[in-house]
Amino acid sequence: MPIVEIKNVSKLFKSPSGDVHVALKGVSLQIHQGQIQGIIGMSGAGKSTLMRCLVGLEIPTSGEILFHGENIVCFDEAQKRLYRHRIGMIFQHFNLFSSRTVAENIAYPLEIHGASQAQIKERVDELLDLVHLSHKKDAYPARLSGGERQRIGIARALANHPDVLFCDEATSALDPNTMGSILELLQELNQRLNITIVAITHQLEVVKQICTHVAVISDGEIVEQGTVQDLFNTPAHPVTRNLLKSQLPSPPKIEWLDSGQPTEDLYRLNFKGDSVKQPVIAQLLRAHHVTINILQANIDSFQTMVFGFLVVEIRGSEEAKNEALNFLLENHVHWEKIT
Amino acid sequence: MNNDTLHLMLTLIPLELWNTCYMVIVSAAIAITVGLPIGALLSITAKGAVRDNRFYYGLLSTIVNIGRSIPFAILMIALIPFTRWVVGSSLGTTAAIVPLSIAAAPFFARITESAFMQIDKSLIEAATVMGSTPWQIITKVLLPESFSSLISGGTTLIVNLIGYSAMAGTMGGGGLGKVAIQYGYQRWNPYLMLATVIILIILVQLIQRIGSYSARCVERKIGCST
Repeated sequence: MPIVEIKNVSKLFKSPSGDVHVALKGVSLQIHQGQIQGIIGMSGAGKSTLMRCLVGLEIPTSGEILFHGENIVCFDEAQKRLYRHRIGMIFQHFNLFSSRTVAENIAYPLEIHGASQAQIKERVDELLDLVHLSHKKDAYPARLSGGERQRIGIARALANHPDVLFCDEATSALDPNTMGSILELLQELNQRLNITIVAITHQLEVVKQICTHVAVISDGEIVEQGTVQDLFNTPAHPVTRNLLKSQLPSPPKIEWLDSGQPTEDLYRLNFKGDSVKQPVIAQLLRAHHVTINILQANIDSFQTMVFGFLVVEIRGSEEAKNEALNFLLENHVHWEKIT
Repeated sequence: MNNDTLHLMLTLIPLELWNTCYMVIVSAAIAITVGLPIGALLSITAKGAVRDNRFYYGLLSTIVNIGRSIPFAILMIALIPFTRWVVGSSLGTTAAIVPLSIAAAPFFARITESAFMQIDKSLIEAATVMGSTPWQIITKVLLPESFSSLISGGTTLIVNLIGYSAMAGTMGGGGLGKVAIQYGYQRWNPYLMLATVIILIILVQLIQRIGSYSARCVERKIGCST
């Protein structure tokens, strides 16, 4: 059973003048234990509304949100509070209490949950250690850097051993270096505590660096979802392609070709997993009567996965070209024709 | 200035200064005790707040507005039967505490409401998402987060009460206002009049200084200002 299941959730907002704004249209998504689920979209796509529905700050107009099989949409205030003790959330602007020290901030969820002073002290020390900020225990948030504040936000969110950690644009207010270290921390927590993470973001870097799964949201709809590998390798929807634009090469230019003429023999070869490490092209050239002109190439890694692509012009007889393309497929190299 | 005046000054002023302090401190304490919860209720029943409730907000807000719109002199007279019922007399220092508290409570309710309203909404949402009850949000988030504005507001309240208490003194209450009206005005003793006014000025200055300093200390401690 998924830990969080969003079933056909829609949300309409009515303005006082009677205009209806559709923020979410029939969104469905399953999030399983231990996943890092990214939900990526441009601003105004509906991702914040989705996040607010997930934590019970907004009630969907229709649809269900199941947490361990229970529909949180129907919860009353008391049930919602119990639910909220089982989730954690971090925010773009950290939302730390300025009147509380670092230790007191982390203690807050424990306090309202009725933990004893001794339990609080022990857990706070443990959490400070987890986010590597024990030395800032008695500082006030105003004296901390953005990265430190987010670490405290994370420690506070984890205080009650939540099943799911919701991240609402958690790295959007941070500089690239700090963002990297926060993402590393989140990934480390995911691996060490096996905590499920749901990250709403407009930053592709977040998805690229830590997510296992991703859903692309646009205009209130999830237009594409799957594992990060699949999505990055074979983005199907225009919105996804647009998001990935910075990652994809610009289309090859005719001037790069030997002939200087438009050709129908341009292919993009996608390598992933083991095929990256094999000298596939060399084998291909040895076995088949084609010549290959490499126009573009790149190799990159997302988390543990290495993948690469080549843009090539394949020249030879029709038969030889078909054989070559089949050979590529047999060797787990997916190709697409660029026209 | 003759010896009689000096004698009057030395015996009357310390006593009536104490009476003024007594009236102001007790009525401020009552006004804060009553006004703070009303202000808290106003802020959590306001539109878009954690317990958005138009009916309660409207009701409370109207009561508070009525309390604030009645001129103090009229309120004092209107409350005479009530004051007599509560303290047994409508004259004297203790009797003045009743109208003073009733005038100041709605004022402090608004001060509390606006102090709470200044707190970032997203902070309250964060507390909500952590599973806080409305009571926990008020006591553990709104109150501590707005502590320095509440101190500033409390200072304004006390300064206002000093002014009102002087007015109460002219209408049967005790305190420095009584000295000013009875000896300064009715017996035309300019020295006593001047002395009371100077003491009131010093008192207000002192309280304002202490209040601003305390508010600044709180801010400096949490690092909100330098």
